[in-house]
Amino acid sequence: MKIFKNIFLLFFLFFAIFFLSSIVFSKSFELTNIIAYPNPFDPKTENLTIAKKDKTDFDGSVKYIIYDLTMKKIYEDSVQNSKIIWNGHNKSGQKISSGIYFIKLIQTKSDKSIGTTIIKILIH
Amino acid sequence: MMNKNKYIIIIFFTIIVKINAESPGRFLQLQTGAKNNGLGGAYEAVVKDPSSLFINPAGLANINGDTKMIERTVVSSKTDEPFNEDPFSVFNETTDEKNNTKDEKEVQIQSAERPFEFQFYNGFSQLTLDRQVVSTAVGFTAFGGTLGAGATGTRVQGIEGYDSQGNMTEKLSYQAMAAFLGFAYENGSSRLGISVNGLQENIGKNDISGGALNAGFQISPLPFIDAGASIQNLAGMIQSNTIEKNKYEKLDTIFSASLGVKTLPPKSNILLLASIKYNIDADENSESLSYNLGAALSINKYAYLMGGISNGDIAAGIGFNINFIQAAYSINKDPLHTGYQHFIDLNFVY
Repeated sequence: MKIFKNIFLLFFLFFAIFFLSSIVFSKSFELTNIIAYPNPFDPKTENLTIAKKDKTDFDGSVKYIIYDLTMKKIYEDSVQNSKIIWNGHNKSGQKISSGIYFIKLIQTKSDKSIGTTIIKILIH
Repeated sequence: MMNKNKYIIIIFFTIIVKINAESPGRFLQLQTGAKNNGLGGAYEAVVKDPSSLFINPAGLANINGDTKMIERTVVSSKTDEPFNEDPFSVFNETTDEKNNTKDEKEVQIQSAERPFEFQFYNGFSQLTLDRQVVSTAVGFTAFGGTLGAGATGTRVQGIEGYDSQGNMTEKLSYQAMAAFLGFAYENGSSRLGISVNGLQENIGKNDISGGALNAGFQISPLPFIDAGASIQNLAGMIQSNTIEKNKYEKLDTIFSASLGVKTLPPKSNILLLASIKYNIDADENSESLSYNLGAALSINKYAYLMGGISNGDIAAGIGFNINFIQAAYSINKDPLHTGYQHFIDLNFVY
């Protein structure tokens, strides 16, 4: 019985160290000045555009992954030197339901991640 | 009459049809509750407070005022004649006999004593990406079982609105709420429960509303084993009220099963849990099955530690049971690893 208690305490110690170290050593590579429009967006009548704030194309490769409220992956794709245009459909080609979704953008140059960000969108 | 038939068809449709698509009402699937999260989401088998309404309605039956079998001695007539085909004749005979004799005997009778119990649960979760979940519920002994009522609400803030030209409009928010009503019944070592909920989602300018039926089961076949299963949104549908009026969609039906093994009393200080969750309506290209593991260890009679793994993500927590207050806190990292999520439970037992 004591061994279980020790395993548990060890587990908690690791978790505490991991938690503190992630706060102290975390580095942010947040992509800024990115917009997704229109927001809210209705997939029946329009496409969602994701671009730089000045509405110009991205430089390099940008991977985008769509997640639902529970962080379940719905769709992913990537673009090269252009804006992202998404029609609001999932991997099976079906229109996704109304709700809130998160779009994670990962920008890479020469296969190296140079920044990420997460945008919230509402779908009607 | 037409309307009645329409609703019957819709309910039938929601029970039997598998949709294989994304459905609204996702906020009902958010993992909330400090104990539920701290145990990796493998909590259906052992949930026993009013948060059962949101996890497994059968757990409500554990709010039973510690039902005890009481043995009483009553004085009865010595007549032990069995009933014959005419119950009235027997009644008359025994009455006559009772009237004619002073002979009496003492009889032991067992009956269940079920004191009133009331629990008041509050839960708060601060999730990453500005998501917040607040839940409140009560459970109390009534009608030979346990009645539960509660509500859960989800809010996401910090959404930047843009028009179709890319011009900033206003800050938006997402809000959703569901109200639950449930009843559970205990029979020996098994518990059955059902709950219904009505829900509303405010998605920008689109309001959708709906409702669902949930059912659950728990059994403790041996003193060291607990098992549970639940079906969320067995018949769940949602209707768009503003953008696409009278458009009906089915809510995802989720099946969960959980097994718990604990050490035997008096040293019942370790609990191990495993569960699976299966979304029968999940899109064929997305994950429909999830695995959860959890463990709890009592430090003493007042405090316990929790640990869990849900789809590879680790959670940890601590809980306290002090007199009539049950409190728990747990933490995990979200699946996108954007940060830590905090869960707090506070339950009052009267």
